[in-house]
Amino acid sequence: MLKINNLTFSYHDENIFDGFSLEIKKGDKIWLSGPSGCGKTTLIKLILGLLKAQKGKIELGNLTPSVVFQENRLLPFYTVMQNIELVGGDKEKVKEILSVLGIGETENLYPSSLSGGMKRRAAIARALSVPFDLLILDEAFNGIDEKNLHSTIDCIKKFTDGKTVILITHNPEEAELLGAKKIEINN
Amino acid sequence: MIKKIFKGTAILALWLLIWQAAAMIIKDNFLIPTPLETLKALFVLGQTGQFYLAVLKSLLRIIIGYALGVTVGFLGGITANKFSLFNDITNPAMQVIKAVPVASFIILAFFWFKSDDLPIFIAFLMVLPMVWSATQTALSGIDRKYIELAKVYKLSPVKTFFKIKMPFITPTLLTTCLTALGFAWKSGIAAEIICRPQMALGTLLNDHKNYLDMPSVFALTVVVAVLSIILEIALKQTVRRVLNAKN
Repeated sequence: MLKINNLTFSYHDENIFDGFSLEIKKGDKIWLSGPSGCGKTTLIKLILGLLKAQKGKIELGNLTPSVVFQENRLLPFYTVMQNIELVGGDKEKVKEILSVLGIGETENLYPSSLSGGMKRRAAIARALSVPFDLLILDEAFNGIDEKNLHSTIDCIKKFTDGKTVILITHNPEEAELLGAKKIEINN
Repeated sequence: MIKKIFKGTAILALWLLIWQAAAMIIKDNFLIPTPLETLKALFVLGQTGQFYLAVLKSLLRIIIGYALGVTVGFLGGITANKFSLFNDITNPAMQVIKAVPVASFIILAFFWFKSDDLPIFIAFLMVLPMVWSATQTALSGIDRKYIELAKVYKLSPVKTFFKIKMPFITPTLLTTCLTALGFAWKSGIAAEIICRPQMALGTLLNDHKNYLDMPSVFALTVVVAVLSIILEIALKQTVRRVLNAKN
């Protein structure tokens, strides 16, 4: 279980979270919704340990996280396969996921030669290829066209069965397709 | 390829013609000897074992100083990037080394080192701040987002450094190392001219200047320039081979 207890975080004298609490059960799929700038990505960074809260506690238990950031964060000097293997992706699994995502032919290509949507799916493939219990999707489907959106979400559903998923998106359709429960965050 | 060789030869011939023309206009081989006189002087120098020994020992001294400068500069740059207190302490020293003219350092170090070791120290000192600050700047220029990625997936610091940071900083580092090689070579020879170690190109230059043997001074200067170009090409080829082997 992921437990966030009495979280306080401020940045440049601006209070982002003040006594925020949340519990997410193992296997839950939730959609963090809220207006831009309300702290959704900040919360993700706090959960991942990339930011430190001034007060409160975040307990991941024994959940191993994996993430699709808002940006692709693909290293430009590695191929798609090398990018995924770097973070611990198993080669056979990577091939399978790339193929399910419809970008099987990109494994030996460098990010610079991929389209925006392909890069996005490569970043999703990276997150799905490593061992994880908690998948965080921060605007993960931005840049993926309507045609590929359904198959991408189907692929995520296939590889996250029984696992916890946190989704951040402004598109309710994505949350609906993923079957994620809405949690509203506001100031 | 043939076109490239032809073009290179034509440019070289043009410059030799300009040199010849300048020598013919000035008509004083003490000020500007002709290319032929210089070649003759080089031939005479090449008949002595002392010349080859001087070339080898100068190369050795400068390569040692350069290698030390690159190694210490690289490690120092990494440490300064990692620990801000270390950076605060070492930064004034780096600024001073960059600002003080090389001749001042040669004169100062003349009293600290044996004349054989001084060119090593001077080459080291010229390379050190260049590689140090290039490493530090390149490391601090890496987008934090990639470092965050490494943190999330719990990559070890060693893996993060060699697999993420190094590929980002390598182009800057290689360019700096190539530039630094020229500086090491020039400053090392300058140190040899002033401190006159036994068996050194700089010492030979100084000796022939004292004998007012200008064709030999010109010939030795040509040797220094050609060796500098050869060293740079050798380093470029080594780097290319290492990068190709890695890929």
